Amino acid sequence: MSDIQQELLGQVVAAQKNNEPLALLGSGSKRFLLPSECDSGQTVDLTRHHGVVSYEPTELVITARGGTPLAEINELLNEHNQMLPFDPPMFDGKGTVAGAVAMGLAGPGRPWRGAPRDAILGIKLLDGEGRIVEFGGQVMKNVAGYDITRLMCGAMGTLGVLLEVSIRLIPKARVERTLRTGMGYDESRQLMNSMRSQSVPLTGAFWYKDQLHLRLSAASETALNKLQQRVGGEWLADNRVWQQLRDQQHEFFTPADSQSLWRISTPPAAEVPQQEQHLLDWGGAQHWIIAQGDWREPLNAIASAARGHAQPWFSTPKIASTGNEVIKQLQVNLEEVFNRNRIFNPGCCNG
Amino acid sequence: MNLKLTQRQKTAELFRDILPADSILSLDEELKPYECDGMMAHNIVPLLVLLPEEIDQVSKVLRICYDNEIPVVARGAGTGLSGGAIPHEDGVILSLARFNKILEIDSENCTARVQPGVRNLAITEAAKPHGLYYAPDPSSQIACTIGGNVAENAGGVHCLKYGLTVNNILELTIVTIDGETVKVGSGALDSPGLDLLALMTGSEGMLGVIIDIVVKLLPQPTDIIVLLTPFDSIEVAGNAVADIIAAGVIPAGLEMMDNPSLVAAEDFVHAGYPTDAEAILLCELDGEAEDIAADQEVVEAVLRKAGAKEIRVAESVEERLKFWAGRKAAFPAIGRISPDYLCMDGTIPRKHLAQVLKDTHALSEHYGLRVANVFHAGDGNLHPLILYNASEPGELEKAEELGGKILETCVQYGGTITGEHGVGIEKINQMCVQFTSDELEVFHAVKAAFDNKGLLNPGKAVPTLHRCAEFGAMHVHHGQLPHPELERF
Repeated sequence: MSDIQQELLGQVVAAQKNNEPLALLGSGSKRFLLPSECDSGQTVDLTRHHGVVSYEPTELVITARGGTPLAEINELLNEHNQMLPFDPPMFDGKGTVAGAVAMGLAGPGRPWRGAPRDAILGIKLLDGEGRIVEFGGQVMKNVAGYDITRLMCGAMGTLGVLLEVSIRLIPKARVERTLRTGMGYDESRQLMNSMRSQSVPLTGAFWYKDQLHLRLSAASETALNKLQQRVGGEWLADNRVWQQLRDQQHEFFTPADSQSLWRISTPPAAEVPQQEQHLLDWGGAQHWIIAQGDWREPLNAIASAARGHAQPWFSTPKIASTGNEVIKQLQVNLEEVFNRNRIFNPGCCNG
Repeated sequence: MNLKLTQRQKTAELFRDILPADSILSLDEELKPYECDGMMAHNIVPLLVLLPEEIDQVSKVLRICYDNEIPVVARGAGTGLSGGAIPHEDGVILSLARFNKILEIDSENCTARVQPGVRNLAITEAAKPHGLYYAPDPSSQIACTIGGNVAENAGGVHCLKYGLTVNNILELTIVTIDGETVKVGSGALDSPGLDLLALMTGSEGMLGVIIDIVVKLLPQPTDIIVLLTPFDSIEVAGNAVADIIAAGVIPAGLEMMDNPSLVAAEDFVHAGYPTDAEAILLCELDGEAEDIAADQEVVEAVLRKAGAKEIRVAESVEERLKFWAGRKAAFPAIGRISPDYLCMDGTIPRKHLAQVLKDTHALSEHYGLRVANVFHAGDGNLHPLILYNASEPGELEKAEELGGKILETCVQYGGTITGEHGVGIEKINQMCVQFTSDELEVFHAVKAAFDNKGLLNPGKAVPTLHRCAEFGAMHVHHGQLPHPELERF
């Protein structure tokens, strides 16, 4: 446990006064996703602001300082058979809770269990004016004031320092198993489409190299066996494949030097033509594609035909690249509220 | 001719070129139905009511309001309980009632694209043939519109498992105050840029006008069961709720009613509630039959251990609906035993339930007004109903003061002044208790980022710092009251 709130406040006040940018950094586990210009500015090490502030299993809520390692939180929750619903990636086994919220990333359970924005309940924020402000809280339902809390999810630290976050938890499923079945791309998509509108205990579905993996989570074995009878396939000995997928340790995620990894996010039933090196996750809503050379144009075209968007994974464009000028202006206005003079992560900002 | 009438006619002229005559209401008898929303204790006659039918008309209306600095209050069905749609006396009501079409049900992606004036329940009805439904189900769902649900981030009895409106929508089309039409969110599970979709949700019509909504639909559960459990004490019932959660079960609904509420509901709809119980707990489990059976076993064991002497399981669909009918009719049932009532909407950490109810009881005695409690126990959302008689001079004011004190109690125990009804004008003073002046300043700045002239629903949801000074509220910091040694209710 260590609380460096006052020290951080001093740094921010000085940075605003001297107009000197700060690079907000947790464990650095997702640093490789940001454009290099995000590094400009003096590094602020947030891992020293660390520790679980409160955790009461019966309230299904945990509150932790931003720099608390995800591994520490997961271990604590594990003891009580609970978990962070969005199951955040930990690419090198590291990652802090504020980093997970700031990047807004979610694991393979995203379509069923939500993203950080669905689970976050409250924040304590240090903004660019040196204000320490709290929004939301520790209760499930809270509609007092604008939803500044969820606005922080995926904002990449451009709206301030997340000193504390409160997150809604879920109990772990009593039974969880992985079913693997041989199936082609189109057939897998059809199956995932049909299961989407049925009450089945699914919490993960990905396709790769003509194999479909399904993660089933339920209160009883019977419900799982029923689905196996329908889909066929074999049970895997453990559920490790989901963690490998989440943390990109799966064999797919190894592009050669001349290749690049792309992510296309689409509505789940959208048609995306099968690519040579292709992994389909999130029950059809997240396509991973390894591309040769500059595939920006064709992949953008595929994405927009599917009413989604494409992004090169290793340098996610800055926060506001939506292309729409009105939206861009609104985002600039919001940066002005929380990050005047763009002292936080200026390379990620619009304004 | 009086000044108001002149102002009204001059303002109406501004819209004649873009709206047909029947889309502009300006006569007293036409304006009357719009003078309040579901919070009927306060009313203001708007300058005009505008009823556009096309997005382009909404855009032009807003542009004209922007250029002429006319306040705009967007309105759906007007069922909101916090006064969020109460008119501005110098402003227009922008009614979205004519945007009442379900544009698309996409059964493969499990989404529906709807206009803001579509009723909440109508979405579920349209999705039903596809085996789907829309999860958030506020009690007013037969009448309230989805646009209003988004503006208030509406909840309902199934939030603990299925989330609020913000967790069940994917994309919004909004018109900004200067008439620009933009989309936020998308049919995909994420979009580039800041999460403006979340920021718009629950913004009470103060950041933009919602004109098109893509909602997420869920598969209908194969099975549903409801358990009704009477308890001798509210405290024991409250502990049972925590124990259910601790046992790793997330019920689809977990509702508690205290004795005055359940007696009123029983007299009204004959739901079969035991009227000698101090409290009853309704627990709904849904999913596949095998899973429900496994959960039911756990829940029943927990309830018995907590002290339940009897657990009734609804034997048929009819009985299940009857159990729920009592809960859903709790508000009108209270309406039968009291000339008037105010419905509060605080949320508290579940563990403080017994204490908050005790404090509420003390406040009720102090003010000499009866309070009945219905409670979304699973997510800590409390609805104390304050019974009063508006025809007694001063009683409304007394009831409002009592309501304010109850909300302040919720904040004191680490909760919030509103779980699902919104702030509107009803709870605007209590915002001063929940938030510091720095936090309120952030809210005002966010508002200005979208609406630099302050024309969208002005005066609602976020109090001015001046107002807070006048109200003289103490900011209660997460249960740490200044001078904790002093006795309070």
